[in-house]
Amino acid sequence: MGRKEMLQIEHLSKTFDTIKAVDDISFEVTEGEIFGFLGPNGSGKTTTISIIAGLLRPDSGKIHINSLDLDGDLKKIKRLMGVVPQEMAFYEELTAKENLLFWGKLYGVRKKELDERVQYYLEKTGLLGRENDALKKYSGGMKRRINLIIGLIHEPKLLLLDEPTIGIDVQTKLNIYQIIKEASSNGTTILYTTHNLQEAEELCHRIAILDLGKILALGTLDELIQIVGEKDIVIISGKFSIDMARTIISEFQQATVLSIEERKLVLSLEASKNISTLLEEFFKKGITIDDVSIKQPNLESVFLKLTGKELRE
Amino acid sequence: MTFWTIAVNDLKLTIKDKMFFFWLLVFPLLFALIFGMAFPESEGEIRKITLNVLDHDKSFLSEQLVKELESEKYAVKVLENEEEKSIRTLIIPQNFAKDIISGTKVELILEKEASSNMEASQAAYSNILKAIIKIMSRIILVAPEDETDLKVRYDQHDLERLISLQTEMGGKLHVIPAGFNHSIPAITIMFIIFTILMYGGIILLEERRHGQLERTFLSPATFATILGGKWTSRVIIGMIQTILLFAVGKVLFKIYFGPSILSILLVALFFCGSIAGMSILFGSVIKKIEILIILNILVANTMSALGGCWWPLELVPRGIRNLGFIFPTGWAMDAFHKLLFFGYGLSAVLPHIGVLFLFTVIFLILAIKFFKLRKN
Amino acid sequence: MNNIFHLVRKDFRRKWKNPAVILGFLFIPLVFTLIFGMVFGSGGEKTLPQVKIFAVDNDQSLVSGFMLGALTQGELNELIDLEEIEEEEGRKLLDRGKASALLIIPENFGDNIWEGQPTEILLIKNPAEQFLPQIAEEIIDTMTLGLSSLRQVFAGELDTIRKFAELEEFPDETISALSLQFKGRIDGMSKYLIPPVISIKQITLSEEKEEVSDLSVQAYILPAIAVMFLLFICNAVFEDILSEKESGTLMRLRVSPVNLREYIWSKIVTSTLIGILCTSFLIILGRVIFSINWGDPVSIALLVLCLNILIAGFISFLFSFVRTERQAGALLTTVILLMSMLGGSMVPVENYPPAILKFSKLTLNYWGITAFKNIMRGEPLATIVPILFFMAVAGVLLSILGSYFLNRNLQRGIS
Repeated sequence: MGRKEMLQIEHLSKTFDTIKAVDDISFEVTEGEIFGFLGPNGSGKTTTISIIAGLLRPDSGKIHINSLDLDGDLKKIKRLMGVVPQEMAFYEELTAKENLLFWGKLYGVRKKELDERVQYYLEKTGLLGRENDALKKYSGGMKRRINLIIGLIHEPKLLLLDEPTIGIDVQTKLNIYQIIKEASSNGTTILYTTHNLQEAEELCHRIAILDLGKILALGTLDELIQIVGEKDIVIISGKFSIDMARTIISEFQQATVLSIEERKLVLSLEASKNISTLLEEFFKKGITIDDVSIKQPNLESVFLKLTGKELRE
Repeated sequence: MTFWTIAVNDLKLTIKDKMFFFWLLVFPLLFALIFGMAFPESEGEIRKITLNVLDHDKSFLSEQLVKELESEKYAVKVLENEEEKSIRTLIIPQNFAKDIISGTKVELILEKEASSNMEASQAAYSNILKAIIKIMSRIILVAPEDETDLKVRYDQHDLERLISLQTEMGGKLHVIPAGFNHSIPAITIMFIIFTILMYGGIILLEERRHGQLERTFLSPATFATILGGKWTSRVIIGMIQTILLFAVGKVLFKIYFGPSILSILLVALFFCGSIAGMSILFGSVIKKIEILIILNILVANTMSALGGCWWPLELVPRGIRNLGFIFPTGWAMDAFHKLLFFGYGLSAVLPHIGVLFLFTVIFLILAIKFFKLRKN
Repeated sequence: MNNIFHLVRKDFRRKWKNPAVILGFLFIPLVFTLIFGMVFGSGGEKTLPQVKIFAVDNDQSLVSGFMLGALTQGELNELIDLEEIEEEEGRKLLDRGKASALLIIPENFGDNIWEGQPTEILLIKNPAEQFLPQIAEEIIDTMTLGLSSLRQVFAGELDTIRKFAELEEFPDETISALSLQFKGRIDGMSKYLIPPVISIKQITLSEEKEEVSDLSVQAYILPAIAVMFLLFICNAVFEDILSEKESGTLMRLRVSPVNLREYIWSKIVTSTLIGILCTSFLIILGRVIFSINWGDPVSIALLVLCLNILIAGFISFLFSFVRTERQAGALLTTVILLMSMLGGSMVPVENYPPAILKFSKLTLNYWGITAFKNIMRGEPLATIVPILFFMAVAGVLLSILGSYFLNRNLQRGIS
C-alpha cells in the first residue's frame, strides 16, 4: 500500500502507585487506519490515550507520531493531533459555531477555510440550523456529535477517540461512525478506544485487545477470530457446579473450555457434530439444563478465550 | 423516625464540608473581635478624648481657656508648634485675649483629622463650648478694660454651678451595648443567616440537581416529613452556632447574658426557624448555585445592616431603624437588646417571638408553593 | 500572544452569555452604598442622627419653658428632637427604647433659680445606646452651665427684683434704676454675646494636614466595598480554571497547540480586563446615582488600571495553592474576607486600635481605598504615584509568581 506508520509505540509502560496501568505495550498504526483498543474498564485504554496525547509521561517507552518523537517534538505533534475525550469537553455557554471557530483558531486554521469546515461538519452532523444555539440546549446525542467534530475541525493527521459513543442513540452512533470512516478514508489515522465489541467489529481495521495493561492480542477481526478457531461458541446454563462441569468436560475431548463458572459453561466445539452428545453426558449425570445457545465465533469469544471473562457493557 | 433520619442526613452533609467549621465559628469570632474593637465599650462615659491645643496667643486668657478644657474626660496637651498637630487640635489665634476684651470677633479653629472619631470630636466641640461659656461668663462679670485688668480681677468672681445635671441609666441593667456585649449577639445573628442560607440552600439545590431530592420524595416519607426534617436540620445548625458563639463570648470576652439565658435561647430558636424557612424557600426557587450565593450575600448583609448587627442602632435615623423590622433580624436584635441591655424577661419579648414564628410560617408557605422536585 | 488573545476573547464571550455572577457581585456594592447612605445620610460631613429626648416639665415655669425652648433653637434644633411628655409615659417609652434620654425638670426649678438656690435636673439615659445619650448629656450640661452663668451675671439685678417682689412694691425710682442696670448689663454683654465674640470653626484635614472637603458617606463606602467585590469577581474568573478542569476543556486545551502558561496568562488578562470594566461601571454609576465626585479622571483611570493589575496578580498567586473547588472556597474566601475586614472594606480603619491598623496596612484593600480617598479629596497625581507604582509592580510580580506556581500545579493536577 505504501502507507507510512503514523503512530509507533515501543515498550510503553506506566505505573500508578503499585498498579501497572500500562504494561510494556508496543504497536504501530498505519496512516488512515482505524485502530481499535478494546478492553474492559481499567484495562489501560484511557491511560494509553493520555500518554499519546502528551497528558501523561510514561515510565518507559517511546512514542513516534508522524516520525516525530513525542518527547522532543510535542509542540509540532499537537498541531497534527486531535482528541475526542470521553467527557463532553466544550463550552456549554457558547454556541456550536462559536466553539468550533474557537478550537479551529487555536489550531491555526485560517478564517476562510475554518468557516467552510464549520459549515461542512455542521451539515455532516445534521446540526446546521442549530449552530447558533448554546450547547447547553443540545441533547446528549447532539453534544456527542459536536464533541467529535471539535476534534476534527483542524483535520488532524492523528485522531484519538476515547469511547465517543457512550450513552447515545443508534442514529447518532451511525452518524458518528460515518464521519469517522470518512475521516479515515481521507487519510486521518484513528485510534479508537471502546469496550463495545460490535463497535470495534464494525469500525476498526485492526483491533488490540487489552486487559490489565497488556495487549493480549492484536490483528484484524479475522486474525483474532482465528485464535478461537472455526468452532462454534456454545454456552450452557444449568444447575451444575464448577466441579461437575469440569468432570463432564474432561471426559469430552472435542470441546475447549473458554470459561467455566457456577451454572454457566462456555465452550468452543463443532456444535453440529457434538452438541447432542455433550448434552447427553449432562443428562446422564442427572443435571438439569436451563439453556443452550450456539454462536458463530466473534470478538466476544476471542475476548472470552483470552481473558476468561465476558466483556460487559 | 423518618423525620429525624432526614434531619440527621442533612446535618451530616453539612458537616462534611470543612469550610462549614470556618463559617460556624472561626469567621464569626474574627468578625466579632474586629467589630468589638471598632465599637468598643466606653464604661458609661466617653473615654478620655485627645484634645491638643496650639496657643498662638499665650496670654492669660488663653491659658484660662486651656484650664477650663482640662477635666477627667479629656487628655489636653498644649503643643509647641504646628508639626505636633494630630487627631484634633484647637488653634487659639494671636491677639485672642486682646480681641475678646475689645469685643472684636475671634475665631477658634478646631482641626480634626479625617480619621478622627466622630463622636469624640463632637464631645470635644461641646467641651470647648463649655470652656468658652465659662471664660465669657467671667469676662462679662469682670468687664475688664485690658488684659492686665482681666488678669488682676479674673479670680474675683467664682463661677457657681447653680444648675447641676444628674444622670442615671434607664432599664434594669447598666451593661453598655458596645464592644463585645454588642458584637457577639450581633455577629451571631449575622452568621446564623450566612450559615443557614448558604448550607441549607446549597444542599437543597444540589439534591435537586443530582436527583436525590426526587428519590427522597419517591420514598414512603410524606412531604411534610421531608420538609420538616430539612427545616429541623437547619434550625439545629443555627442553634449549635448560637450556643457555641455565646459560650465562647462568655469565656473569652466575658459578655453579659442578662437575667434569662432561656429567653435568649428561645429568641435564637425562633430566629433560626425563620431563617431556616428562608433557606428552604431560596433552595426551592433558585436554580444555580452562583445565584444562590450572591443572593445569600445580599440578603444576609442587607438584613444584618438594617437590623442593627453592624453598628449600634442609635446611629441610624429612626425612620430607617423601623425598616429593620421588615426583616427577622430587626426583631431578633430588638429582642436581644431588651433581654441583654434593658434586663427584661421573657414576657417583654413574646411579641418578638410571635413575629419570628410568623416569618417562619410565611417562608415555609412560600417554599411549599414554589417547591420543585426537578431542576427543569 | 495570538493564543492568549483567542482565549481572552473566548472567556469574555462566555462571561457575556452568563453574566449573573459578575453582575451580582457588581450589584452588591451599589446596594450596600445605598444602605449606608440611608443610615448615615448623604451629606458631606458625616453626621449623627437627631437625638430623641423626652422632656418632663414638672415645673411649668417661665425658666423651665425658656430652657426647653432654647433646646429647640438654631443648630440645636437640628441636633435634638425634643418632645414634651408626662413622666410615667416618658419612663415607659424610654424603657422601650423610643428615645435616647428622658429629661426631668423638677418642681420649683424656676423658683430655685429665681432665688439663686442650687437645683438639679435629672437625665435618664437609654441603656441600649452608647453615643446619643452621651451627646444629650453634653448638650444639656452645656445648656445648664450657660443658664447658671446667665443667672450669675444677672445675679444682682435678679436679687433686687426678688427683694422688691417680696415687698410687692416697686417704687418708680427703683424700676428706672433697675432698667438702667439691666441695660448696662446687657450693653456690657452685647459687646461679647450679640453676636458671640468667639466662634468655633471645624476643619477636617487629610493625612498631609491639608484642609480637605469631607467625603460623602457614599463616596467613602462605595470604593471600600467595591475593592472587596473586585476580589470576588477576580476569584470567579480564576475559579473557571477548576470548572474547566472538571468539564474537560482544560484537558482539551492542553492537547491543543496552546500551552498552559498561555492559558494561565489569559486568565490573568481576562480578570484584569473584567476588573477594569467593572470598576469603571461602578465609577459611572457612583457618579450618576450617588453624585460621587471621583476627582481627577487621569488619576482615577491610573488607579483603576493599577489596582486591577494588583488584584489579578494577587488572586492568581493565591490560586496557585488550590486544586479543588472546595479548597478554593476555603482559602480564597477566607483571605478575601479577612483582608477586607482588616483593610477597611467593612469597617473604616479609623475605628481600629493601632495594633490592628498595623495589619490593615498589609492589605491590598487598605491601599486601594486610601488611593481612592486621596484622589477624591483632590490630592495631586504626584502624591499617589508611589502607591500606584507599588500596586502595578506588585501586581506584575505576583502574576509572574502565580503563573509559575499555577503552571506547575496544573501540570501535576491534570495527571
